[in-house]
Amino acid sequence: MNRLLLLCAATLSLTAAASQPLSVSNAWARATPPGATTAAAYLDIENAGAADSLVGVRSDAARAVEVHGTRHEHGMMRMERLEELPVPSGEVTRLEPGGRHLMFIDIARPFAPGETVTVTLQFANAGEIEVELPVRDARTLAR
Amino acid sequence: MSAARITSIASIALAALAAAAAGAWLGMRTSAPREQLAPTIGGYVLDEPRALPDFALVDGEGRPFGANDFLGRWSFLYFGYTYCPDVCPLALVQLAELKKILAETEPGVATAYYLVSVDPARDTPERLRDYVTYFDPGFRGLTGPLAEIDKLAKAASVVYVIPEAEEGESYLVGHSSTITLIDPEGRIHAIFTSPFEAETLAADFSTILDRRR
Repeated sequence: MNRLLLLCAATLSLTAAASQPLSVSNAWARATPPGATTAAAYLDIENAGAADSLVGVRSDAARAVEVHGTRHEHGMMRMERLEELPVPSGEVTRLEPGGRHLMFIDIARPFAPGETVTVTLQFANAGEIEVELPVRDARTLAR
Repeated sequence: MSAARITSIASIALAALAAAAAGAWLGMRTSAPREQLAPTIGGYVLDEPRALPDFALVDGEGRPFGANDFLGRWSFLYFGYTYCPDVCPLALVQLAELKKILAETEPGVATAYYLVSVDPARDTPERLRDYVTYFDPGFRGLTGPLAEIDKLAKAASVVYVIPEAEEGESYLVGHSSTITLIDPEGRIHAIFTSPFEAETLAADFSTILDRRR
């Protein structure tokens, strides 16, 4: 990850047009424990325009990135892949710890605090939005 | 159901968990005479602590670990797996925080913290050790044959489902997200339900200790 990206860690780069109705905030990825091959990331998507949906995510940082939902079923927490994440008009769609999240499968290397991970979100209507996810050590967020 | 395998105790455990989630807490609140016996906690205290069956697991160093190894201290158990990117780290972060809080609020009380694998095919002892010690150097991982894990899981009313997967294919394990409290006599004493907050867990634990003081 180059220095320039690190400097921009807190900002989001939108590759779509300025009239983009979607804005992404509170984006971050959880630093991974040793040996981890999966990682999770979280963000908010605010939709000031017409209803849309997140239909795909990709990143060079992992073999695949999926949107996962957490379902409570028969006393269990079960993760399930969401083919499509609705992003309703006028609402903020939140992906947060313990709930819906981006799951990185087979990460290329550990997610280290201070680095950033780039993902491209593909929306049905709004097209693609590139987001920089600062990697945070979530162990220090508890208190 | 695509699950290749569900623990045989599923129905019992499901009933227990459903009852716990739906009514136990409320029951404790509204049933005044019981309140002294069963403090209100984020979860439930067993009326009678439940003895553990013997089981043969290994810790992160590959050392044998059985029911007797819980004796002499309070143990907090979370059942999960190292490939779990979201709920398991969340729980372990709270347990690490709980450990810090208890060091201050209950300094004379010995405690131990464990992640019990529900994915032993991928969670080798070394892998578990590296994973749990990331959250706290004192944490320990336990794994072993599924049949042995099941003994402990059944006693803790924990259910999990390992889906069918090809060799090398990534998969997710569905599992109960509860924290099991084992008393120094090696019995299941309480089960905490998610979401977990370290401060709440610490307060609940002190409430449980107060019953015995």
